[in-house]
Amino acid sequence: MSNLETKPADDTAAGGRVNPVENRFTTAITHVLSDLGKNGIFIALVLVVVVFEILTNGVLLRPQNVSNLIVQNGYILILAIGMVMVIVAGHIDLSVGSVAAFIGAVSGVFAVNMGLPWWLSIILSLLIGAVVGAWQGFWIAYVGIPAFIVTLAGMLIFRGLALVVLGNANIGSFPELYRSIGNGYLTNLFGDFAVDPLTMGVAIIAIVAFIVQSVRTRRGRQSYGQAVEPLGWFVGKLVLVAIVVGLFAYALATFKGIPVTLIILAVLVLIYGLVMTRSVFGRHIYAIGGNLHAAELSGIKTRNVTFWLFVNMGFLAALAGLVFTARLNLAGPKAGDGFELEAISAAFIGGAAVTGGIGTIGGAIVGGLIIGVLNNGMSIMGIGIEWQQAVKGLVLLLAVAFDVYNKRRSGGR
Amino acid sequence: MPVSGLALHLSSVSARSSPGTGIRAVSFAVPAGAVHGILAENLSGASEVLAVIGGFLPVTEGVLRIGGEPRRFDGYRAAETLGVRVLRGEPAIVPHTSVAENIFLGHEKSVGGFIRFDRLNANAAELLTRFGLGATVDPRSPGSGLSRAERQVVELVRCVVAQRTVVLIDEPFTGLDAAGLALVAAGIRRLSAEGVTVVVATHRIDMLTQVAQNVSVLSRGEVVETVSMLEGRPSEARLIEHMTANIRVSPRPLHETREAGPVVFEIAGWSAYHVVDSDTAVVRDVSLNARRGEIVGLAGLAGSGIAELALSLFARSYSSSVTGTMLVNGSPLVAETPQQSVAGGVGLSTSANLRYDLKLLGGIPSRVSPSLLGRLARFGLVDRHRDYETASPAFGLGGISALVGNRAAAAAAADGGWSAGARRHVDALKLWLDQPLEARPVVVVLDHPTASLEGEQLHAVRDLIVELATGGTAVLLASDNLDELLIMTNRIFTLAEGRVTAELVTRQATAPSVLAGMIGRTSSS
Repeated sequence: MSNLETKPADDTAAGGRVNPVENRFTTAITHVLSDLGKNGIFIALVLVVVVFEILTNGVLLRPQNVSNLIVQNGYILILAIGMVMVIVAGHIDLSVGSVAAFIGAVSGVFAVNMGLPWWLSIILSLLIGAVVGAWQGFWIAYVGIPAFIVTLAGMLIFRGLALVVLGNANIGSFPELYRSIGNGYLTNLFGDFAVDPLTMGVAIIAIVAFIVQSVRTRRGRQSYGQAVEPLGWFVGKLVLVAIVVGLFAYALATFKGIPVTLIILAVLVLIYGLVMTRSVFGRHIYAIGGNLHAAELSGIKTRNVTFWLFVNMGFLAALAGLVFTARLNLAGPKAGDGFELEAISAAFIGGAAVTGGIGTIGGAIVGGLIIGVLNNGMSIMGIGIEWQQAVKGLVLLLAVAFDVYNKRRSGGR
Repeated sequence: MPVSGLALHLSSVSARSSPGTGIRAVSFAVPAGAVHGILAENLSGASEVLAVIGGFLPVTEGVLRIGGEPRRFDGYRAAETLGVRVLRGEPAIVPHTSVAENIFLGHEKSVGGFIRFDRLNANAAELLTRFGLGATVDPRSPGSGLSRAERQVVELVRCVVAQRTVVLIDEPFTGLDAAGLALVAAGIRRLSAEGVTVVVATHRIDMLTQVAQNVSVLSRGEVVETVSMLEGRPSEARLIEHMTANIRVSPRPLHETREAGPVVFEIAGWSAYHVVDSDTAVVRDVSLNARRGEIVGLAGLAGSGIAELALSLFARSYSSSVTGTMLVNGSPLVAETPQQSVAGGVGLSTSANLRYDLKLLGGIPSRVSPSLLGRLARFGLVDRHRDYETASPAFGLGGISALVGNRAAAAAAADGGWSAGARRHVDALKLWLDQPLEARPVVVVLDHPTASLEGEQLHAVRDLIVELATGGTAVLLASDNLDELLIMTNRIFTLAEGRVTAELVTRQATAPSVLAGMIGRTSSS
């Protein structure tokens, strides 16, 4: 995941500049320190995992629970991807929970009430999600109403419409293939083993791909004569990532295999990571959030970018709604309650800046995982929902406070 | 990527912008790819010339030719499609993305919507090298790390990337140190070498000699002379005289009639630092004084720091930090809040408070700074009606009247046709004048009180200022208007680049001598 981690703001001016007096030793130290700073969010996740592993007497990392962590938080992570993009552009979206509920209800009408094929129901639902996003994007981008207001209205509108569609009843018992996007597993394709070979195979491919990609990036930098991190540190990181991914895959393989939700997530993270770091559209989102004036002066069609950003958010909110509905096998009026807040928290814990212009997909995913581990760990410990809320609130506050403190210390405004 | 610049030709072009300003029968020609300078002080229409070429201001008379064709733009977009671009104010940089991305912003080359970053960075590095930044700026470093001069240069590089044909630059040299000036000057020469036609408007004669082939000297909207900077270059004194050629001091030398009293206001070693960029001093080591009943001019052009100085004197508004000592009536005054400044006898009138983010509150009928809200409250609730009474001197808020309007002024404004900025100055002046002599501020700072006024309104404001001084208040008048300074003041301190360059007794001063100080020629009288 770390090849998606371009976090421009953390390249301090001093670090990014050519400095003739630095020697190998200081370069090594600077690199390790800046890496630790850059990956502070990963370290935080590791800490949270370790703490809850101890507090739950090892239940947290049991294979079944690891699998649950992904499946239970999948829809929040999907929303976090869209949300961090919206936040980077300097906007916010409060409506995603309601939109997820609305789309869940609509898909129920398609798949259950009307009996459409599961795939058609999903496609139609995603399209309606995009239309919902277009509706909000229109008001925000072209009419110029602040996203906070438009999506606050959307929160009410689509919660209401969800109730209208449901007509005071739950819609339930979805087709099996529809349900699989929420609680299906890819497993046993090669027979029934104690440790699923498919899962391990995918993990090995992922690890190899990661190593190859990292080495290529490093070579590329060297060929341009740019500074690279010390070899020992580089290899150490690769080994660490390989071990973590391997253990994670082993946990999944000994349980039921790869959750379909994880596949969806992996595809989304890869695509959106690429979009945000490499595509013109993604870089324009950063430009708009960083300096709207500069973006406009440079001829970027900022309104169109904002519009499509919200279309995309509507699409992802719809996807999250489908995954959630599929998992519960039920479209209900309470679905998606508070999703927007968890997604926003994930983005901010993951390092997005309130002022816009800063934030990464990877960061938001890790932020979402931190929230997920907090939820899951505290539930295992039998802590009531009331204290869970309070703790999550505190974590969000501390994460942003830490970020603000860090920026102030590094001299930025 | 060579750019094919377009030749410019203005023949007898006239245009009007806000009241009292405009250009008349301006003519000059710029060959494609050349750098042309426009030398003018603040009010002389340099910006208007750029605005006309950039399509922001319609031509009322005469012919503007770009690339040989007569053009009549119906807005800046029409000019932009021709490749004409006006650069003014702070360069627009996205702080969190890389320098390379900043350079190619909006013009990224992509394959299927995705950027080839290795190519982007290599292209940016090559462009930066051509513009003299190859060794100092890593294209992958974030835009926020660029210095002010480097930002200007990045803005110039963008013009090459965007294939601009004519680039009009308004005051690119303000707020730069010697190294920065050299960098920007080299950047402008480079832009011209790339083929772009460049027009630079500035008051920096020394910089124009470095970048421009020909310079048109403007005075009050008219071209006095177009001179070659390559051969037979006229002396600086002559250029300054040209810049003031059309300034007429009206036959009402008010300063003669007043008699100055003892020194009541004094600052020493006064420095103020930029609001955002807290390492940059915008006012440097300024020492000056004012006598009872005296009008002291603070003269400076754009970027000279007079506006910042004026604001820093009152409650240290504007600037991240202020150092230096202030004596009011002989005793030191350290005022961190508006209340302390008012209590110490200092008043301020400015129309700049919104720009400088004094956080005015809405919802109550007048403009009130949050720091004053306590005084408008009764039992912790803001009393809307009491707000109107702040005009009462007994209320003790007179000194900050610019920040607090009143009902009478609000009513007058509705039919008086005053601009919002001018109205605040009138409010402030009237409020001070309504107070008994002993309750008036010892010293008031007026920040460009007559900007964009003309005719009767102009005279009305000037009369109020003189009346205030006659009552014994020392007036610090920050202005860039030469005839106003010469008519109104007793003494003039000129500032350039944040420093005092000259102290002049107005009776002995001339327009060229004041302007010389404003341009940065150190002298004494």
